[in-house]
Amino acid sequence: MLVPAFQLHLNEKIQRAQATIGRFDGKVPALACATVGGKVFLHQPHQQAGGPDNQIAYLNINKQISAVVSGRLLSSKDVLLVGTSANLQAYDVELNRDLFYKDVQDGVNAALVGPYASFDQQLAIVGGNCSIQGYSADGSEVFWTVTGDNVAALAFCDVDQDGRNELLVGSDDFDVRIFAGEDVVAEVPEADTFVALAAVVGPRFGYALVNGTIGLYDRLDRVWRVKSKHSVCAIASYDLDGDGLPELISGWSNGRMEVRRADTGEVVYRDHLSCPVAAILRADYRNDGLEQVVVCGVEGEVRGYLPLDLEAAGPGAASEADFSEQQALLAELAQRKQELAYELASYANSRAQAKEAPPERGSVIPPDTRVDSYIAVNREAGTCDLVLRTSNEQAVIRGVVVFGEQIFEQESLFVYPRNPDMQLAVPLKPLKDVAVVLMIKVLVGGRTASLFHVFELEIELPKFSLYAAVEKGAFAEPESNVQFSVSERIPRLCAWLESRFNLKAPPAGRADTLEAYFLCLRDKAPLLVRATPVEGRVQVTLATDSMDMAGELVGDLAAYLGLGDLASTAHFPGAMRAFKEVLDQVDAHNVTRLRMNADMADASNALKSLIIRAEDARILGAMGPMRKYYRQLADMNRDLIVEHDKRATNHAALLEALREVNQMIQRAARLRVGGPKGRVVALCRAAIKANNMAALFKIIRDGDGPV
Amino acid sequence: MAQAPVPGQQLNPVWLAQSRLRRRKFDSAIEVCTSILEKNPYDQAVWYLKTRALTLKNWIDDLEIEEEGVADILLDEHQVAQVPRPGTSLSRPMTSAAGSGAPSQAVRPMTGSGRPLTGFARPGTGSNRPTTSASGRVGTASLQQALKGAKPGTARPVTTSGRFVRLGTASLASEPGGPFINVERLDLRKYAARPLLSRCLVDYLIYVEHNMKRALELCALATQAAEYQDWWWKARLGKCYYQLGLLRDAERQFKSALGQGQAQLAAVAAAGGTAAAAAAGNGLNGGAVMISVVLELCKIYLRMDQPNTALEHYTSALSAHPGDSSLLLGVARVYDALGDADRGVSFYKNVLFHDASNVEAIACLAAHHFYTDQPEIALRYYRRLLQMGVTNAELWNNLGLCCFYASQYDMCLGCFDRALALGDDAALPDIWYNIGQVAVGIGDLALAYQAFKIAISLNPSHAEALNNLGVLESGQREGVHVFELFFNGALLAFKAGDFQVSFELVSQALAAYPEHTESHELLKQLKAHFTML
Repeated sequence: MLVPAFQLHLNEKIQRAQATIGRFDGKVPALACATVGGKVFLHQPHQQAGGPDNQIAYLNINKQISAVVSGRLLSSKDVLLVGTSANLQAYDVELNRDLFYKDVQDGVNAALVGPYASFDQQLAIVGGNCSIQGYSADGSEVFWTVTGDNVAALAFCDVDQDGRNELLVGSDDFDVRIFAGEDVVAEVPEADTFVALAAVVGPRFGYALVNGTIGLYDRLDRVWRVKSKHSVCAIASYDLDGDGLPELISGWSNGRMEVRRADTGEVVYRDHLSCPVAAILRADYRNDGLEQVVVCGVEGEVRGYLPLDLEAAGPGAASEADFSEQQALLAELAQRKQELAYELASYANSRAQAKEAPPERGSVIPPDTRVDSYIAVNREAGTCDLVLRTSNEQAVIRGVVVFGEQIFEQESLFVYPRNPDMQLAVPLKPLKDVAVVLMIKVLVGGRTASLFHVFELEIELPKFSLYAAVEKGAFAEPESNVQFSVSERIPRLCAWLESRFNLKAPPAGRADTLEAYFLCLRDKAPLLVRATPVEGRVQVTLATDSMDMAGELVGDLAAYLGLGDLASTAHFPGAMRAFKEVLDQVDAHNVTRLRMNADMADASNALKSLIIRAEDARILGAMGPMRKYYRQLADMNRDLIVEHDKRATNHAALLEALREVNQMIQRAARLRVGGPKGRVVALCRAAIKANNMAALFKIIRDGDGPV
Repeated sequence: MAQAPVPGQQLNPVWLAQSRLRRRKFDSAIEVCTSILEKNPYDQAVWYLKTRALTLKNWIDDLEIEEEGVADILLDEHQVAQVPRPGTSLSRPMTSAAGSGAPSQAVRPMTGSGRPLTGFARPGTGSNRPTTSASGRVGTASLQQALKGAKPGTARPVTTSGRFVRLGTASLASEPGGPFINVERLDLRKYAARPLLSRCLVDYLIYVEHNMKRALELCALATQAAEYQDWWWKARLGKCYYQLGLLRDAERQFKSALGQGQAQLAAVAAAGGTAAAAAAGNGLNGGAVMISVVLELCKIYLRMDQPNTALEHYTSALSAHPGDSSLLLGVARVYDALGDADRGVSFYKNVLFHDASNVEAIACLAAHHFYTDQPEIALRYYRRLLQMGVTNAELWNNLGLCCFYASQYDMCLGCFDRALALGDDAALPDIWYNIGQVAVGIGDLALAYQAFKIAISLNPSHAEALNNLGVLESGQREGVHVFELFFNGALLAFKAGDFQVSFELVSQALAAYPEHTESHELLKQLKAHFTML
């Protein structure tokens, strides 16, 4: 049983995931949380001056706060970092001064502070709209890179155990990307948007998704996961049961707090807060040298938990723990027994039925029945079909359950045919190009039987299964392409094509060149893969109008061939034209924003003076002028609200355009691998900062160029 | 016979206008320009001259004018911390117990805003700032308080920009035939492309028209035309933002004007292996630190109540410009306002070392010495001011006080006489109050009584005079920053046996001056009484 070591009620609302504990004066800990109305409150239980009323101090941010973190940006004390939709403020609480105040155009969705990559000082890492920035203590931007979509969660974890932190980035395209420096080392696909990520121990990290899933990865392999109908609010890791291994602690929207073992996902402890959990932190909040887990609820409830100290608790506690373990074991065994009993009963039942009824009505199918499966492309429906077929007339497919992550909107699909037959096609339409192992459960039974046999199958869905091979000349060659040369042999490339695409026949072409034509069934976009030997190397051309597609292919090919570095030339006139429009839009929106900002400030000044004048008139008892001023005030207020709507629309459009820009950089980067990839990102950033659009286009095309 | 040439007919009128502008005869320069422009409205040279002349005529040094308007005080929350630690914020100066070396509050009075009194009155120093407390929004009672100026007869402007607008309107109204430039109809894009005309025009927009919106637009266009490499435009952009109340934007522009944040770009460009970009990114203006920009930047930080950040910027600018008196003065002012008198004084001395005739530094040092019980030295500083040709009521008043405390009684009343002769309505109450003080000192209670009465008649809310009159009679209350008043009231109530009232008053006295020993004593006695009951 978990008993809180301390419990407080702060009577202040705490925004979800926006709380932090830091030693802002370098000595005693204080809790900083974002509360309502653009304010941050500080709870300083160790502050000497002032009585208990003075323990809470407020900081005005005057904007919607999106992230609150703290960290040792300065060597002597913690700095409070507050992120809003357009700024990042690093604030020295003790001295009441800004360390820096930065415009972050992409917004601050998540932030954290810590040592990262090869930087010798601590960095403030900020994740926004498709971009990740790192700031040093003086506010200079020392690190910048792009990621696939809006950043939802950030965490440091030493995934490859090299003694250096890697950055885990959970983004809205359901991927966890692992960054080492500016390079993406690995990507782990997940099923939904992220709520939080947390390093647990060593290469293990936990994750939480919007759909109520929490789980744990060891390097790139998932160890376990659990899904709940409540939504998860926060996760953290700490060794609460004192066994030397940290557990994953999760907080939920119904106020539940669970402590789960890292290796099995088994619940160790549970506790309930009276309100939804806002954040789970670990810090020495009592300032007695012992670290605690501090759980904050959205209504201002704060609970601290100390790890269970087995030795200090004495033999009684240990035996108690022993006892509970025995009981759990007993319960498990009882359940096993129950299950076996049910199974036995069902066998007996079916045997009895088979004896009574004629063979074709029975539920027993011929013992040599097999279920075959293969994947076929269905060009009319634009899907690829998973075709299942039984080997026996008497056995028909009554239903199929397919499990596969990221293939369906949910995780599984259940298909039952109206007229059961030997063969059943399950249409698959993967939302993304991913290689997945499908777990299939086929319910097979006689045509009239009420009991079915379950066949469990596994089949691997190739990564680019949704591309249909077509004849040469079926479509005009796309005008856009990406070209690069690799020192490989053509057959290796053919092997790659076969393994990745759903090919029945080997790709067309002579031995010295390779040419293959595909049609994407998702959007009917053509794709041409051509490889020709040039001076001992192979010149590969991937012609497609979609940069995403090209990037995906390049990345996959490089991984298949084991290439560390790959530079390429990208020729995408259509995408570039669209990109130019986006850049023009950014400019236009920026100009509009500037003007609207000035108008707004001017109007708000006028508004203020009207308020004062009206109040002045009221104090003087001059009702005529007062009425006049208040009327003007009401008019102006209405205008301001209209203006604000316009501004909000403009801002949303600007953000969208900026996101496009970042995504374009990401796409351009993905056409390269390794060193050239990082180079493209760095150069694009420099070109954008210098507002040099011509250079930007050149960099995207050639992967290099002057800024 | 040759006729004597009529001056002006022979002279080229454009040259004449130019000459008059150079000799700072703005009105006549404007006149000449107007007459030329009537004949040829498209003469750009003359247009330029007239714009310059109008700008210079209306120019005010906005670095020093810093007064927050009523609306800004009541409705803005620029400061980050609502309850900062003492000594880190202008609204909570250090207390003398913190070892700042400042004379204790019992000796050195506070201004209405709760900051220590400085020796030099600037706009804003005496402002009656209702400090934003944890209670949040302030009610109308403090609106009334905020509307009152620091001195009788002076009202504060409604908004900060309102002050500038009002300073500007007088000249605008006197312009015959409407304003010279019709601002709303200007095609700013056209002007932005011409560097010289646009600079002249933006100054006109800022200093004459006070149309910050249009000025901002012009600045933005011109900065763009200069490819974001011109510090001057960025500084102007910052000024416009500041006057519009967009402090954060202004901060960004000023920092950018100082070339901050450029180094990083240079680093990236260098990584890209391009020398040209690296050279361009090497700070603006050759990496020079412009003093005026630093001063304006620090003004923003003071508005945001971050004196420590301001100090940091002053200090870093001082390393580029060692011995610059305006920067040194800035540091000294901040320390002074924070109640860190030791450092403040050392910086004032530093100012005097580099600029021996700096009035503000002399006056502040004099005030410091006066309040640290060295009236003789203060007297020498004041005499130095007198030698420099400063003669005003306040100076004579201070001289009179110094003479009195330095036992030069013969000089004392003479000085006060002069002060009275020079004083206006704003200064007179204080002078009469001081005369009253002197009278109390020499035991002439009748004179003291009359002097305080006159002070109150001139300024009905002169808290100190009322208090002293209260000592002479029995008190009336006004003003919350004068702890003596509460203490005296508490003492009287205690003597009269009204312990409840006494307790309330003594708590208020302690709120105004937490280390007042006598109040603590009284509180202890009161508590003893209460426990007995």
